[in-house]
Amino acid sequence: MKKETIVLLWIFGVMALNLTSCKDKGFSETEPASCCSSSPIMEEAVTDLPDLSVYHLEGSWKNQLGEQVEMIDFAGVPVVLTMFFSHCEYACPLLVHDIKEVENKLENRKDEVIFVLVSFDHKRDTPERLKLYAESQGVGGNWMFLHGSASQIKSLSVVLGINYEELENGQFAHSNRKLVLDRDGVVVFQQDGLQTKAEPVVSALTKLLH
Amino acid sequence: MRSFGFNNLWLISLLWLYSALLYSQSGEMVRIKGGDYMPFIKGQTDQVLVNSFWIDTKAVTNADYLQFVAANPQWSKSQVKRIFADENYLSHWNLEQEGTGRFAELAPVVNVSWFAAQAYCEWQGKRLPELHEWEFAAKALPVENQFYDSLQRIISDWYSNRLRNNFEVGSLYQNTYGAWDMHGLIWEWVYDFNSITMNDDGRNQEEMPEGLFCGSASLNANDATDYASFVRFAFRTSLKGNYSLRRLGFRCAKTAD
Amino acid sequence: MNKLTSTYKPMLFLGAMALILMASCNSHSNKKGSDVLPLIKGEVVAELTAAPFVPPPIDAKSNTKVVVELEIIERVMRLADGVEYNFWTFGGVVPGKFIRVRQGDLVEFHLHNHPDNMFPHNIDLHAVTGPGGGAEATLIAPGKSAQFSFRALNEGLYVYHCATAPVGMHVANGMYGLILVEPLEGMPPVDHEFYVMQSEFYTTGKFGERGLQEFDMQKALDERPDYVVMNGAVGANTGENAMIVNVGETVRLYLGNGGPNLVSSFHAIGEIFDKVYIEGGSLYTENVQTTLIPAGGSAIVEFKCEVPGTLHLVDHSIFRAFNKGAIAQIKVVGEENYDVFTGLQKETVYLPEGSAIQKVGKERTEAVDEAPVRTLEERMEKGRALYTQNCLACHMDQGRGVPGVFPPLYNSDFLQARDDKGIGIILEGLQGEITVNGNTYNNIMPAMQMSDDNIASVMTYIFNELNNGGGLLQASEVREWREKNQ
Repeated sequence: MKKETIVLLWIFGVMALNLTSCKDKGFSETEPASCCSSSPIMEEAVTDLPDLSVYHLEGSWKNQLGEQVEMIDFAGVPVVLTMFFSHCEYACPLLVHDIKEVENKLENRKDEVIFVLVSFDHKRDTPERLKLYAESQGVGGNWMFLHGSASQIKSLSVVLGINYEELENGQFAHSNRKLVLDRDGVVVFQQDGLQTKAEPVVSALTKLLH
Repeated sequence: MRSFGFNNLWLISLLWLYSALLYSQSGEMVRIKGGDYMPFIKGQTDQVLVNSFWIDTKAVTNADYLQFVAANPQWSKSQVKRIFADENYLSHWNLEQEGTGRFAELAPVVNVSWFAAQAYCEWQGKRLPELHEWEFAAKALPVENQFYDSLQRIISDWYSNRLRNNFEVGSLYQNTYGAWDMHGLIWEWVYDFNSITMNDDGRNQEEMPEGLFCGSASLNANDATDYASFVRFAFRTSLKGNYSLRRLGFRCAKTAD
Repeated sequence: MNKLTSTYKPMLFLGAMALILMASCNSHSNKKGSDVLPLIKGEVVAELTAAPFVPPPIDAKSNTKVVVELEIIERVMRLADGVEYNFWTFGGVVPGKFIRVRQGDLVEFHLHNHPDNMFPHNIDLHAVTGPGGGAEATLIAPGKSAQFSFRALNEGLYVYHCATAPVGMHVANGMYGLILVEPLEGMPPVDHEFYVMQSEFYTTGKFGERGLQEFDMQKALDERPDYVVMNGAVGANTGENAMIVNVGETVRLYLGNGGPNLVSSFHAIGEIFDKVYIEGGSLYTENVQTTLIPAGGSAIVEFKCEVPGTLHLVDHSIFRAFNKGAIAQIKVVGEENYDVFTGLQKETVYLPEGSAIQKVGKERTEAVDEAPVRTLEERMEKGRALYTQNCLACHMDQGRGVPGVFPPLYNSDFLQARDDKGIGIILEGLQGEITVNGNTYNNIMPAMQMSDDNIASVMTYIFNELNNGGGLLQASEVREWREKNQ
């Protein structure tokens, strides 16, 4: 069931990719050849990734299925983005709960949105661990849990304005921020705190879904 | 417009490269032996172990940075992405003739964002110093006057606006580790400027690290009278990664073997 | 609302409902009493003023959006004559610029941190209902701006200040000011409104030590300020810069205390406050001599100026006033009103043990006793102690005086030009306009109750220690003068 959804998501994601994702990757050195050669017309259309797009961040992440993901792969779909870690006992479960609320409130449109949770904990949150975590949370295939290198995590956190520090016991102190990214990867809304209201996030997403 | 500036850049930057090599010994580093130190903001323990590291003896200069921009045009004023550097990026460099501006070669480069600084350091095979590394290096006393008070004097002179005429790197003081002008010239980026220390798990955490501007700061500070450090930590808290500020530059570091 | 023509009627209805609710709430209008916020019509840009001036009330009938633009500037300015300080300011001045809005207004606040500044800053307005009074929303690096909006829910006079760590240092460097939230219909009319804010400065050098002074953290911790000032500098509003009103006019003072540490015992020498809005709130009391203004607090005082003269606004913790600078002046100009105040009518000696009160030289009993001859060393030693007891409070350490208020005694051309060696001044006092070392003073020095011997000592001290040409005065000379001028 879950796997099916993930596959569906990926079909959808690939479609989105084909439609919109031949981006100007800035200074990326390893641009997949398949991307831009196949669809030159589209390339013209998307070289104008806005200056403020988070998707200018290069680098490859791994999702809970062990697949390679780049930020730019999310282009074309509204995204709810946050950073967390799976060994987190208090804040992150609430954060995940908040996002589930958002998903519920989206009702039949929830599959048009991707929920991306990037881990602070590059040592412990391997794709395998993230898979277990995703299953334990019982979330659908439109949830993406990402593992990256320490420097990728740092750069993303700086772009998103999320503060964090690794503590000596291996835990992380961190901001609790949820962000909504538009189809170009520009932050259009952010919400700080825990046990927050879902409505503002939902309404930001709804605008993007029109 | 854009391409004009860009073409010129190469020519001019070659000249600058030459002069820069003549005048600056850019990138010279010093190895700092690690050890325990007491950070200003308390974490779970009072002591933090800093591993040995290398750090640039001087802040990166305009001349240094020009070479970087020449080699990496995506970091030129005209091509840089706003998400990585705001509108003030290199705003002290003359706009029409990018890189030829009216700035002093040996002055520390300022108006550079965290991303730009980080990219520069990576280009040099280095990285930005971590906060604890920077603080560790910066607490060393001036070679010529090895008293705690003399270091505090430099900081308070700087804070009270007495040091405006010192603008070249290596002009103010060298500390016992061999690093120049860790205080008194500019603020400097650190790699993890966005780290914050608060409760485990973030449970009592307001979104802004409130500790840095409310009363709770004094509860977390190791020395509540150390206002110089307070100011420095508050400054870092006010930053975002794409900020390019007139008094904010950087130097690079490297992990020691 | 006007734009939404299709929903005009229901909106109008809702608007009317809101007005009704508002009106019902207005009976206790200075409190948060209702969840219904008044409607906002139009937009104005707030006029901000530097002390001692107060902006005019907003000229609009209903609540409006008020746009406030406040720029943070770090700059070196005068703290006292010959003394400079690197102030951190709201609006380029200390205290920060005065903000005036009305209860119910929507304030859109824009805070700018000048790019040349070195430090991050923010603002906490005590008039804000919300986290940190805006502090969290406004923490900005140099070269950045922050914007947030708030409803001015509660009437009153509120302090605002920077709340960036280390908070004490930001406040100690000058980052405070006042925001008035007045009733929609405005404050009752008066002839003059002024803005006076007290605060302290902690400098590495002592009071008056020349040059660019630095912030001294230890003194701030110990709460030992070198300067306690009204409106940001010693003598900011004294002498030529005094506030000026006419006899018969009413005055309202918006008073604040920026601290960072001290509580002010605010007093106007020569005036009684007819009305004091305690701590800047809605409750007022009448006929007050001295009102406490807490650090980070305010007061509104009102009085009528019945007679001419100079009112000294002081912190009546009085050493702060006479030794650290906490004085501002209001000059009341106009005709004397002897029915209210006569000035000195007659001076007599009071001798409880005698049956008759005689009009004779002061201190006669002591004066006739003895006129000992003393050495220069003896006179200097005695004179030093006498100076500290009797003269220092006004003429200050080393005879520096207080600019515009008390003339200096150090190298005083006025003193040196007199042929009585100053004896007459001590015995008879002095009042009216005089010129000392090029500056005019118009103040009153009372006659001093001193023996001839003591007068000889203190004047010897003043002539030698304070660089007035030296010399040794003996008690006999004082007695001679006294007899001659009886």
